[in-house]
Amino acid sequence: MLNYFYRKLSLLFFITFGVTVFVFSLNYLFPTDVLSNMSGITNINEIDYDVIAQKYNLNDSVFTQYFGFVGRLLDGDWGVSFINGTSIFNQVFRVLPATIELAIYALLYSFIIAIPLGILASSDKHPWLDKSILALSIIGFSMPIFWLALLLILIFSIGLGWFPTSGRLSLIYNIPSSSGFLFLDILRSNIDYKSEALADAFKHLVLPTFVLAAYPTTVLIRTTRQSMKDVMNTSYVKAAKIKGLTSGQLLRRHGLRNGLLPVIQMLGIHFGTVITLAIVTEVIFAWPGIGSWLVDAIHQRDYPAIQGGLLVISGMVFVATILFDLLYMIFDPLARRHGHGKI
Amino acid sequence: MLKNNPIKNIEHIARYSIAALFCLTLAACGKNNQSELAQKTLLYCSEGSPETFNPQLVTSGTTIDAVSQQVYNRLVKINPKTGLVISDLARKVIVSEDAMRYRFYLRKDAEFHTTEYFKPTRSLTSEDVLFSFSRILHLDNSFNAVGGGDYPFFSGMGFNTLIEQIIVVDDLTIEFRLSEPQASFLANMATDFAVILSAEYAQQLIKADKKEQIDQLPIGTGPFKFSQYKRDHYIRYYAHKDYWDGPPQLEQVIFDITPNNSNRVAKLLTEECDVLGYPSSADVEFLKQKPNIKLNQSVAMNVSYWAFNTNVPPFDNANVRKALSYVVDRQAIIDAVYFKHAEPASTLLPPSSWAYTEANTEVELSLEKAKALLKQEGFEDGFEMDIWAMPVQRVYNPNASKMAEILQQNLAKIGVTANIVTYNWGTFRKKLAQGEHDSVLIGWSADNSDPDNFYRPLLSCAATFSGSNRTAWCDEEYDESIYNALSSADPVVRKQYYDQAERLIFENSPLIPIAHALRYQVHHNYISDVEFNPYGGIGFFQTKKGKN
Amino acid sequence: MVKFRFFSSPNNSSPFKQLWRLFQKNHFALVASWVFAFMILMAILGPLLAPYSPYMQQADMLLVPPSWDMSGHIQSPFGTDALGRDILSRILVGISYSFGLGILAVIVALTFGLLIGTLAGFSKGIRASFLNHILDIALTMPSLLIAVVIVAILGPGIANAFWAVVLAMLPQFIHHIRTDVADMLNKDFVIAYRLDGANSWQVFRFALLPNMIENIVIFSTMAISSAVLDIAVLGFIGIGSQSPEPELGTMIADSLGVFYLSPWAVMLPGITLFLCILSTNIVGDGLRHALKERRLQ
Repeated sequence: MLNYFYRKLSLLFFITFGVTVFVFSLNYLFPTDVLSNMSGITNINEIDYDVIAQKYNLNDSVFTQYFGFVGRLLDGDWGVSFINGTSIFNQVFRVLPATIELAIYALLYSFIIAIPLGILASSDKHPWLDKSILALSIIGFSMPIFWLALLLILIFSIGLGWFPTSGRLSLIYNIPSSSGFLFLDILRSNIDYKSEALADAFKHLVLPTFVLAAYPTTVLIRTTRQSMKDVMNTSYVKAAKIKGLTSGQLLRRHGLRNGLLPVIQMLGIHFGTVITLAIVTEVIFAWPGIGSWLVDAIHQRDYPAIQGGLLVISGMVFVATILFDLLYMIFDPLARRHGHGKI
Repeated sequence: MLKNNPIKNIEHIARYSIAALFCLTLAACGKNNQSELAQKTLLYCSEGSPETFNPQLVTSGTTIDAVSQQVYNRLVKINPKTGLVISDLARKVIVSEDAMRYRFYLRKDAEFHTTEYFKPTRSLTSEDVLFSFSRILHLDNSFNAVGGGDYPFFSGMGFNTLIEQIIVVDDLTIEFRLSEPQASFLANMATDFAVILSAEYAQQLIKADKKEQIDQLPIGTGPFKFSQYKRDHYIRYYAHKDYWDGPPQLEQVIFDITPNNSNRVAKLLTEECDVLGYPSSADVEFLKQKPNIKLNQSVAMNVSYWAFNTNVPPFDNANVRKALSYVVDRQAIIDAVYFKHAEPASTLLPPSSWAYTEANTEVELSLEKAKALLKQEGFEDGFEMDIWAMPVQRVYNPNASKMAEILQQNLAKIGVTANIVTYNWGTFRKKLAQGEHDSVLIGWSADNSDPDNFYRPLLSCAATFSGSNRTAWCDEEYDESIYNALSSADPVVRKQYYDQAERLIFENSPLIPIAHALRYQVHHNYISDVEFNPYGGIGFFQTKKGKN
Repeated sequence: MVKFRFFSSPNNSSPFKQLWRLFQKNHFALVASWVFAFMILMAILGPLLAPYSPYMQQADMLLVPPSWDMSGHIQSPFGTDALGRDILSRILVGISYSFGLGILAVIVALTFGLLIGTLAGFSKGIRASFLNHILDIALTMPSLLIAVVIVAILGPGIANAFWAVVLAMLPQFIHHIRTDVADMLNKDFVIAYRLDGANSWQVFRFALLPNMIENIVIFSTMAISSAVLDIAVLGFIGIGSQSPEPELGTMIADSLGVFYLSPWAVMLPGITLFLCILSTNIVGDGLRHALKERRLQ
């Protein structure tokens, strides 16, 4: 167990190294001046150039530059934006919680919907149910997410007027941002319209969560269905059945625990996809998260901001993948055997 | 009880969770947004971020909309309905006989905003007025260079040479002495650019060495005080409870900055916005059909026109220009370019101006007349010319290229071959100023209600050099009549001079007025008393929100 | 499913024929495969069939509804968009942009994937393990995110988006093929063939490729759907194909401005895109099922 943990940790180290090298190399890959990319200062005049170049070790070897770069990353000095000259570090961590919040709700939602549906579909008793759930899931899987979002906006926002089209919270409510997680912030703030603000935040959440959850839900339904089928066909389940366990006991003692293991693994694998889809969802719903922020940066060719955004998003994906992997390992002792630094 | 059927169990769980979700959703929807806070908050969907919070520094409508009417007051203002100058911070103005001295008597109870960054100790005095204008006028004012030191509106109207002296008579009386009589002075003082800042706040900022803050965290005497601004996201204003004209009806005014046209309309439909400025022409038709939305239209003080470079032959010939004026199919242009949201223009001055005279000039579409005139001047075989179409979209001209194409078709019928030319906006203006064009499709939007704002910048001799006269036409008679109009304070006399100027334009046709675009504002029916000003910003002081 | 066969007759038809027969049994998949074939046809012929140029603007025909609407015109069956461009023509060309480029991207990625993947499968030791690590990292990143990164470096544009999608898919192909090759190399029949004196190329050509081809086809089919989706998403968020190019995602984004005025300008490209992806997915799914069943037999 410890050994496994250690291996994962060393993998994390390797990945961190890889990602930082990649982001560092972006300084050279982007079309603008290297020093501008690093510092975020555009139009550096000749006098300042030497001073700044000195600060960013530009005259030294690439290795020195790299270590300087990592040092600055650790210090929180991520350069400033080309567009508005504010610190990238502050910007990134101001918008990040919104994305995490959205992704977590979407995953939770898909969990709640997909697992019961998947188990239902796995039962041999209702073949039509199985078929329709599968059909639904393949439709959901094929639906371009942005198009789904537009359909929902057209129907539920503009048509029926149930949900707002954009943002996280109506601008009416002035919630001081402390943690960045909206519900937490609302609960912690001392305003006198708390319940109203909570309801409003919930209304804003419904459509984006549903849209973002569409993909993981379909994947989870299929995974759950398949693995439940597999588990129910194993000899130990059959043996237990013969011993006289009721279906309920069977499901609780053997089915769920073993059947849901691949689901955890699936979550790990698809977390990255969810984050990417969150980028698209954010753009459509004007959700003030890191995704829409990054797309804005790409539009405006704000290279320091693109670097910061990529660093955080890829870092987040890797960390989450490893965490899910560890979780999987805790539940499934078998997985520990062949875990040779794979993620 | 359901122990022996796991599927049933799961079915139940699924059913319950879906039911629970549904209930939650319904609860959220069912709760009507009727709380007190929502009732006292106005959401305005604006089209862009302001550049600064000081209107003195800009000419952009976006900044004016966002700032002027909310945070600041002027000495005098324009009544949006009548277009006349009325009192604002000055309760009374006395103009000397020779129209060279303007004495303003200020209100004594005009309080400045109290915010987290500034606590005023006194109300408005002459000191503040003096500071506000001396910042623009005097290079040695410590705030002159703050924020770039460029005051485009004031330099455009020749403020520096016009103002000879500003004299503080007493705490509540201030006198402006002009170097020459100018009838449009009061109208200029009533524009959204001529706002009054706080001298006390300026002093505080000098001490704290944060001078640039004066344009970022504004302090004024207006009905709303600044609270928060997030670039490209929103501006939040709170009511200024001590406003001299009584507290505003609203608690909060929020500018939701949504640059995308369709997103703005979507927000309006879902009531995420109460009021919407500048819907696109295509959306107007759609919004008209919505029963719960009110569409206000006003003829804005603008004109789009086709100007000829009178330095270039054959456009130095007035009859050639006149001939070309007969080919302009105003109706077709209004249909295709403005989607019918404009009025055909026969004069430079829009009909909503007090100096407008109907049937002053008669424009017509007549290809025969055009041909005949060209033949008379020896151009029966036609000629080749360039039409420059401005590359950007403006209220007064949403699609200049399309307009050029329509002209092109008619010109071809009288034997004139027209080439449509366009550059990017920066290059376009530069080349235009250098007079490289044959003719150009462009327009003008007035800053104030005074007719002078049309005649002087667009066609006077002085403006040929400053660049806003795109025709290079310089006519002594015309200049004389507009300067005569300017030096008189009597509207009847002025109107006569402007009629004369208009006739000269018609006869000489240095430019051909095409259309006066309509301006639209849209709001929900439950909003009332929004102040739409044809010459400038939007105001929410008396706005009420109530779903009736 | 069938565990006991009382009368089992040896099946002598070729594996592909068997696969096809099993595939046909699934009617959904069969219909989907027709749609899929139709879309491929359109991707090739679309630009030729389009009645108008996808860029041609007709100022007097703005936002004409589709012909089934009361006020529609017969000359543009799907109506026109905000600039008076014929939507049918744009969709026809759009299929070859989104769907055609998606397939092309898969073919390119597959070619490179086969090359690198096979080489990697044959290699052992440090080189293999280094490649493993790099691949593992790349595989954790979702393809769309990699594509976004690459577009961020290259700058927006349809060509860049295409290469971004190719590069983003490449790690998956390499990984897939490498695993297949490595697995297969340990199989007895390959070892036997080697002992017969076959060189690496012969092993690859006559022992590996015929056994991998089915897997590759199925994997590629699934990859097409994600490639098409990625190209469309990049176009939609405005960092891939740029308007006025008639790429389906870009078209949807373009028509957002007139969303409530003319929903069809958004809906029709969306339905086309959906059909492309759905048919691809169902075909891929059907193939996989058929293969599984054949193996069971």
